[in-house]
Amino acid sequence: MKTLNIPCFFLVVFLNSCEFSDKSQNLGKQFLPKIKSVQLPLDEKSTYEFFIYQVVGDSLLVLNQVNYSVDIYSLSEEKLKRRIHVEREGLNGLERLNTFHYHNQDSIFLFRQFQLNNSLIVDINGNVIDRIQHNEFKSDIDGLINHVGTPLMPTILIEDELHFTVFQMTDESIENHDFTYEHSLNIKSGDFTSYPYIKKPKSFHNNRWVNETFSRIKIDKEEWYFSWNLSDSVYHILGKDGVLNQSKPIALNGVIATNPEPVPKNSYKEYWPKMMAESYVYGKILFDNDNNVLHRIRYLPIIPSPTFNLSTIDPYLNKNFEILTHTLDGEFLGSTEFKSGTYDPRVLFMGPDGIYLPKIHPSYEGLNEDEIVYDVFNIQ
Amino acid sequence: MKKFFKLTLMTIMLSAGVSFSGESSCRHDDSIGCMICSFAKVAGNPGACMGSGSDCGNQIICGGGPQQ
Repeated sequence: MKTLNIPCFFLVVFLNSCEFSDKSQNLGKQFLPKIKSVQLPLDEKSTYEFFIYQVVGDSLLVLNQVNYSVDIYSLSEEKLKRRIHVEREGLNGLERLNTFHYHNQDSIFLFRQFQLNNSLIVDINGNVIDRIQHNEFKSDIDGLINHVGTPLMPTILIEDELHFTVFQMTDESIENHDFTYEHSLNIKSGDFTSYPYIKKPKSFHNNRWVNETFSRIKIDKEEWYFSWNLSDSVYHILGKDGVLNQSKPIALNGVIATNPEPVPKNSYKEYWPKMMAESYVYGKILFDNDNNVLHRIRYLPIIPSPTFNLSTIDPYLNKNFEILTHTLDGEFLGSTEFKSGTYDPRVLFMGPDGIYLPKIHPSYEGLNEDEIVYDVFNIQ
Repeated sequence: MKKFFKLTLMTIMLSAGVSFSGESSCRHDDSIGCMICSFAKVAGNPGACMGSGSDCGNQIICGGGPQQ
């Protein structure tokens, strides 16, 4: 028996030490198989930093910060189809272009950072259709609106209302439990509506945490799937006329309780790196319309080491991660795990053929300035 | 060469503005008559800013107030 075990042990050690092309990017179990790769060419005016984007059918729209344009790629044809140029200044210009929202070919919203007033509405050819004008908005810094609009919480037009998320601009408001994150702007009247019933969960009050933000999916004017990044549950929230009707917690945790620990308030910056490394933290949530399931990114705990670089790149890129797949009722279907070092899980998206995960990690050996490659995963 | 061009462009963009440090998100600079604000990047959410800090691109909004 002993003589059989020793060779087996060395075989296991040998196999674990091998790096196979695809398997080296993944850990053990894989609920979502990789079904294909998509390569999009990058011209001399584009970088692979596809951070602000929107998927519309087969098209991937990307905010090109370098070129000051919205670039439209075909995911099936794997090519750049169109480029909408934005002027930086002047009568038709827009300073500090930061995010966008494509509503239809005649209404593409281009937003300024920290302000909504004077944001541009252009058509698919780049012609200026209108500018946003609005009435007073009550903010934690007068005159500024820290509307986020990133793919984790995109700004979206529903009928005449532009629905958006704001983040806090002062440290005081970060600790304010009553801070209101969700708002809408009626683009015809210029009036704002706030949704104060969406608040930080009570379990996170009176403490600081390694992550105090969220990802959300907007379903309708007053309907969200709201995913706090340290909460094992995702909340299906329904309201009507500014009043909360339902906040239903759905356990989307892969049947593992993550038990987050608060960060000592007085030494937040000192403790944060180590606690961040050792914590589970959730990331983007995706609604898979074809399979009627929810996917949720979860960053996994690691042991901090000298290679855990917190100063030069986003710490989330140092953590292994998994995609948890559940039914809308919370039944756990499976997990798909990945090692860090190849993908950027912060900016994955739900596309026409599944989950598109970009191979743009700064340490990825195949990083290429002439193309961006997405591996596509889907339920088989 | 292409990479150098891209990096140069990015560097120029990122270095534009005035750098400063401190806990306050915004302050008014009387010498140039502008509101200068600075916020921190949000880890895990590229493009988002929150709270006080100095790594999210310095915003200079002129004309005596931030919103025209």
